[in-house]
Amino acid sequence: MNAKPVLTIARREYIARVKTKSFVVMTVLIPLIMGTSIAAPMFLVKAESPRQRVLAVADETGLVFDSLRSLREETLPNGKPRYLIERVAATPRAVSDARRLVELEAYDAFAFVPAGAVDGLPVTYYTNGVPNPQEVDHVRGAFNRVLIVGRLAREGLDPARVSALTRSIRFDVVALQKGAAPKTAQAAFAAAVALAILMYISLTMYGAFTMQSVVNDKASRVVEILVSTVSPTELMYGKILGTGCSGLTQLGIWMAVILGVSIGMPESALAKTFHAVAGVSIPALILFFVTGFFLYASLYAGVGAICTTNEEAGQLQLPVSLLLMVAFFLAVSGVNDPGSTLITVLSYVPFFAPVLMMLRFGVGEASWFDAAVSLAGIILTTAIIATAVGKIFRVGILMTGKRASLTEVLRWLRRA
Amino acid sequence: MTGLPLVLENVSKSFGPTRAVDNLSLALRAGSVCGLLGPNGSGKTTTIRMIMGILLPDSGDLRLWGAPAEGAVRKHVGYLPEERGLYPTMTVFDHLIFFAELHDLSRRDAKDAVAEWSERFATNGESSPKSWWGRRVQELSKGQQQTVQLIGTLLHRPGLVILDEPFSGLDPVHTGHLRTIIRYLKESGVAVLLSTHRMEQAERLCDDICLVHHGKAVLSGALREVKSASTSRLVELRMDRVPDFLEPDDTIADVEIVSDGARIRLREGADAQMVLDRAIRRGRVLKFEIVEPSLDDLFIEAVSR
Repeated sequence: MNAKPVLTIARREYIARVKTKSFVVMTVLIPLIMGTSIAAPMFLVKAESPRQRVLAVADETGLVFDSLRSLREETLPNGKPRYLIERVAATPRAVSDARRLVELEAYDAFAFVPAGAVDGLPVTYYTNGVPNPQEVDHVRGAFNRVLIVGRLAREGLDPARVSALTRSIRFDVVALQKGAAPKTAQAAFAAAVALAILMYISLTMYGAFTMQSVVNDKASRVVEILVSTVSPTELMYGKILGTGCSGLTQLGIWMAVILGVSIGMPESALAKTFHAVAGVSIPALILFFVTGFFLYASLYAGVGAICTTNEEAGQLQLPVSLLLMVAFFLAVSGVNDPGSTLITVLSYVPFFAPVLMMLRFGVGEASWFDAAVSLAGIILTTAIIATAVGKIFRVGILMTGKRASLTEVLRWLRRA
Repeated sequence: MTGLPLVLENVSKSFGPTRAVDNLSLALRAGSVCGLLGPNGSGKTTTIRMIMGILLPDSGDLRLWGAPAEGAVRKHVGYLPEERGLYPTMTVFDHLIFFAELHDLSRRDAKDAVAEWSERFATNGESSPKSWWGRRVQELSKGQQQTVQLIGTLLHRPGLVILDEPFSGLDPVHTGHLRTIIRYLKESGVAVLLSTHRMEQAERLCDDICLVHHGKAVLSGALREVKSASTSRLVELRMDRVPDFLEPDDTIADVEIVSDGARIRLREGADAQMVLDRAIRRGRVLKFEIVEPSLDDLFIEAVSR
């Protein structure tokens, strides 16, 4: 195999991909959509809250109503109290009236506290329509505190003292690694998950692009000229390299934006995640990312090689997508226990290694040697797949109209 | 790179039960045009795809300049496939540079070659391919795309050029221009393998021919020799009436009535005078000529044998 034709094909592929309108649009649009999807709910919650809520309480215990101080003290951004708390007489008549008033939207909610509430009888909270879960949690917390205080007082204990004695302890986790500064494991976990997500998204996207590019060559018949001048393996390497580099370019642009944001707004969540990622060894990260990228791109190229139309390829890519999804979910669940035998073994399996070894290495579970072994596995597998795909491509090239069956593909592999 | 540009020895290829190419042999000299002729589906494209390494032969030997037809040696071949393929969104210039670089030309050489061949392909009274350089392939007409593809085939100065049905889709002006290009290639010492089912074009261009039918070579050799060796004797007759009285008998093997005359194939050993004799008795003879068989005639003769 020669480098020149590979580079010629890769460059054409790269330019063809980067020059398209969709590339430019995606580069701008995806961070925009992601930014909006994070910012919008926060914005909506803020925009929604400033309405005062009217809360009616029927208190059979006589303990609760006067003690709901925490709710009464809450204020809206405009300085008015957030909750207007109204007392309802604890008679059956008044209670059923209050429920009616909730239905009529005169009250936003009505809480009935039975006499046995301190001993465990439930407090019933009537709301108009489906309640806002956050608000329910909030109100429940307030009632809970008041009733527990009631219980403690009945036993003759000082509630303030009990709460001081039962507060949570602090628990800091620090991962130690030979030759590296200790870092908090939390940061490494967050970084590994963030990277797994990034890898999953970009692999699905650019894998599909590689696949399309292979199918399009067959559809446009350029392939006959290509294969008569360069070897199919050179063609495959070129295509995977070209599409892969265009993907890495896009990621690079996004990274630069993230870097810019985290420098500009050092307190934002984005900046914190970024610093966490930067805490993990950067060269290892880039190596695993790039090799993993090419490994999956070659698998997708293989799907393209046995299909004749994009629709067909879209259906056939499912196994590859599933493999990727499994790797992704393993990584996310593996974060809880990166030292487990399952994760350790799987981190040497090439298809899972990019994500899992990166995770183990990132949290200090694996050494440079482990990483190198698993990296070599990924590269070797990529080379084998790309060569096999080249062969399949060579034989499947003139097949039009009919997708190759699995037995045919195997026969092609043996023959070519 | 010594030896004949292209040699095929007993090459065979089957697709399932069909023998697409059956024991085909062929040799091509530098500076000559060889016509690979035959009707559609006779195995021409399969043969060419084997030469280009797209298909593997079941048996037989394929050699380019004496070396096995594989790997780097194929880069000295210029190949125009029957099914043309260009990237629709690339500009003409970028596409041509891409073709040149695929054949290992440096960027500078590629640019020079693109400029030179674009100039050579400027037909009289028509825009030169140079003026399309900035346009996307999809904006060009069919004929223009064909020209771009052909330029892409020749940029790396191949010693062997394989053209698969190059005349399909060309108007008479472009057809004439393509003939000029093929003659130019031949004069500059390039070996040209011309696959076509258009016999009249082959007749005007080829030094050698190889007629294939059902994958078998039914007739091959130098065009002149093949013609003179032909046992076919043909008579062209024109009269003041339609010569519908002529029918196959012991003199006439076959009659083809054409507008105001007839093309008559004589049986072996028959005397042409007998036909003239008959014609004079039936009307005025305007033209009576014993003619050389055309490639079409030779093909029909070879197939019917």
